[in-house]
Amino acid sequence: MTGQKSDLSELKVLIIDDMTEARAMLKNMLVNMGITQVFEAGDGREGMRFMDSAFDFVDIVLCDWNMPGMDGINLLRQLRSVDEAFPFLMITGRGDITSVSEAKSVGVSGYILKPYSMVQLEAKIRILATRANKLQA
Amino acid sequence: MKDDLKDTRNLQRQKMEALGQFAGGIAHDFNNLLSIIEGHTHIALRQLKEGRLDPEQLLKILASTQRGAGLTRQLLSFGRQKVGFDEKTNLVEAMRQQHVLLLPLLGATIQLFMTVPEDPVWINAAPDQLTQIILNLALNARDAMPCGGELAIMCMACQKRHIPAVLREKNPETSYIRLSVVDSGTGIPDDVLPRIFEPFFTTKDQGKGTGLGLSVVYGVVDQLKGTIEVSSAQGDGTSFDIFLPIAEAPAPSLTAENNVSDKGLAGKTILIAEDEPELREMLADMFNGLKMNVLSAGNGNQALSVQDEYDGDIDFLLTDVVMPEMDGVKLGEMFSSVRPDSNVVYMSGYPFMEGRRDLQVPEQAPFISKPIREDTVRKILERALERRQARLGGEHDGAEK
Repeated sequence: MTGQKSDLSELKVLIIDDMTEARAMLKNMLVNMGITQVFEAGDGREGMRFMDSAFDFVDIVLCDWNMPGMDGINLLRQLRSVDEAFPFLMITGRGDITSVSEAKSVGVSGYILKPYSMVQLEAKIRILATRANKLQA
Repeated sequence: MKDDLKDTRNLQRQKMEALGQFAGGIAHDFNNLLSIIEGHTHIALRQLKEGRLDPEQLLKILASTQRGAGLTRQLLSFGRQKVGFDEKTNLVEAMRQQHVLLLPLLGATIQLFMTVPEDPVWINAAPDQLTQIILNLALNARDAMPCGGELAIMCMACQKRHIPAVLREKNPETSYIRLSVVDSGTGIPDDVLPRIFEPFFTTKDQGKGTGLGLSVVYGVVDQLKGTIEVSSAQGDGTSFDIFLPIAEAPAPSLTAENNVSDKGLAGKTILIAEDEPELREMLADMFNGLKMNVLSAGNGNQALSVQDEYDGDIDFLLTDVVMPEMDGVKLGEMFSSVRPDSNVVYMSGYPFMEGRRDLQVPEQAPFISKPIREDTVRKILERALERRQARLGGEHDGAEK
C-alpha cells in the first residue's frame, strides 16, 4: 500500500459464501485492496434478500457456487431476471468446461477459479468495476 | 555562526551558478534541435503542398528527434537512472560506427586515428551507452585542441596485470577491455583535474557546454561496472583509459541486430496501455504497419477490461509505467496473473527516482525508454518472443520427461 487513496475505495462489495473462514479471508483481501465497504451473506437466499432490500448499495457480488439451499448459479439466474448486467463474479473450484459454459450461458460477468491470488482477484474486480463504470475517476 | 552563514550563502551561490550554467547548456542544445525540426517541418509542408515531398526532409526531422532522445538519455545517465533494456553491444562495431560520425564533428584540423581489434568485443551495454562514452570524450578532446591536433581512440584487450586494482580485487575472474582516448591538446591544469568528473563543472563559456559530458562518461562507465583513469600534463595532451568488463558473446539469434524483420511480429496481438492519446495513436499506427493486431487502452483498468473482452491470445502488453489511476507496474502484475503466457513490456519517459520504489519494473523485464523508436521496439518485441518460445519449449521438454 502506498498510502494513496485507492480508486477502489468507494466500491461496495457483497460476499456470498456459506463458509465463515472463506468470507473472512475474502474480506481481508478486499480491505487490503482498499475496499472498505464489504457486506456478507451466508448463502444464496440471504444474498438475494440483501440484494432485494439494498440493491443500490452494492456494486459487485462475489459469490461461491456450491452452497446449501440456493447455490450460486441459481442466485445468478434470479438476479439476471431483474438485471441483465449487474457485476457478478463467480468464485469456484469448478474449472470444467461444462460448468464454465453453464455460468456463461446464465450470464456470469466474471469467473475466478480457486485457488486464486489476491492479484488475480483484484484484476477480476477491476475488470467488472470498469465495465460497470463503478471506479472512481 | 557568521562563518556558517557565509559558507551556506557561498554554497547556495555555487548551486545557483551551476544550475544556471546547466540550464543554459541544455536550452542551447534543445533550441538548436527544435530549430532544425521546425525548419525541416516547414520545408516538408511546403513541398507537400506543391506535391513534391522529398522523403529526405522527413529523415532529417527523424535524425534530429533521435539526437534529442540522445540528449535526454544523457540527462538520465547523469542521474544514474536505469535508462534502457539490458543488452549486449559489440564495442568494435560501435567504434566503427562512431568513426564516420566523428569526422565531421572534429573538423578538418583534427586527425583521428582509430584502432580496433579484429574480433568482436561484447559489452553488457546498450549501444547508446558506448556512444555516449566515445562521443563525449571525443568532443572533450576536440575542445582541448582549438588549433587542431591528433586524436587517437584505441581499443585493446587488457592483460591481468594492467587491470586497475579496484577492479581486480572486486572481480578477479573478469576479463577487461581497455578503451583509450588520447589527444594532443592543451592538457588539463592540475587544479582542474580533480574536478573534471563533477556534474555541471565546465571551463567552457556559458551556453556552450552543459558541464555534463565527462560526468555522463563517469556515470555510464560506473553503470557498466568499469572504471576510468585519466592522466594529463599541461601542454602535453590528455589520456583517458576506460576499463570495461568483457561479456560473453550473445546467442547467435541475438547477434543479428541489424537484421531485424517484422516476420515474427506479423499477426501477433499487442495491447497498448498509454494515457497520452497521441502517443497511443502513433504506437497503434506503428504496430499496424508491422501487420500486428492492435488493442489499445487509455489506462490500466481499461487495459484489463479490454484483455478480458478479447477472446484470442494477446502476445504483448506494452504499458506505460507512469499512468493515472493504475500504474504500469501494477497493471503488468495483474495482466500476468490472468494471462501468464503473455509478454509484458514496459515503457517510460520518466527516470525511476529512488523515492518511487513502488514504480520499479520487475528485474529482467523488457523496458523501452521514450521516445519510442520503431527499430528498438521491434528488436525488443522479437527478443521477448524468442525468450517466451524458449521458456515454453523448456516447459514442454520438462513435461515430457
